[in-house]
Amino acid sequence: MNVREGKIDSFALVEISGRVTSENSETLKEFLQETGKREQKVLIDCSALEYISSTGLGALLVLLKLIQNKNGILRLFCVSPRILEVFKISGFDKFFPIFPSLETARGAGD
Amino acid sequence: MKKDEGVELKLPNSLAALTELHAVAGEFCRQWAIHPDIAFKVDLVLDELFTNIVRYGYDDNGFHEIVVRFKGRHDRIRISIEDDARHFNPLLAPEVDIDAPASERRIGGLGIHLVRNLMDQVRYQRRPVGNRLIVIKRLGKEEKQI
Repeated sequence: MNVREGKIDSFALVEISGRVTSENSETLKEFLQETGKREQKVLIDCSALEYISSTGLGALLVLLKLIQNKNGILRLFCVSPRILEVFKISGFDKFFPIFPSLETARGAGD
Repeated sequence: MKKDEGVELKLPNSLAALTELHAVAGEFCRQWAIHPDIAFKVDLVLDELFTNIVRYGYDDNGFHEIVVRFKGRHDRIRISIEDDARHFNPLLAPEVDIDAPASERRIGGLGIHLVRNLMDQVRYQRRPVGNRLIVIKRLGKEEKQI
């Protein structure tokens, strides 16, 4: 698993790639907590995300709650069909806005 | 790994063992020409079940062995996970409310919710010492690579 953060327009752009397992999801959670404390508007690039366990979903939920508490924006984009199914089974697709591409995610307005 | 004999894997109660578990599960799925979509689900289910045992199953910090057995048939795969942990039937745990808003959602229970929904059958057996969980995934025509 790899996670890194950049900037695009007024958004923080976080790229999560590889496999988020129960073994490394704590690292992801700590990273996303820092992002959530600092940022108001966050886009997450999932194009290279191969796998995510429920503890990885938990890390995303922590970030979402931090962003929601300040009425910010959190959007995911390029989520693979397999991972999208995990989101749907978990009910996470109801509160994580998921976009097909970076362009649509950043262009969806404030 | 001989295809017909199944695979038995003995792992320590450590999350670091997930790497080996994933590797062996991947190899088993390749041997049985399991469709990558199904292999993904098997991988995820094993992660959830193994992690639950390691994190919540034991009252001590000592070494314990967790035995995972894979068996394939033309129409299904069957995986059992056996531990010597505290008796616990995850199938009796309360269902996750997937309609709750994000603010009320917790991650506890989500793992077993995924297991139930990604597999076709999940069975629990209480052993004299420990637990056995059996998961079965049926293989449709479209789910086996030709």
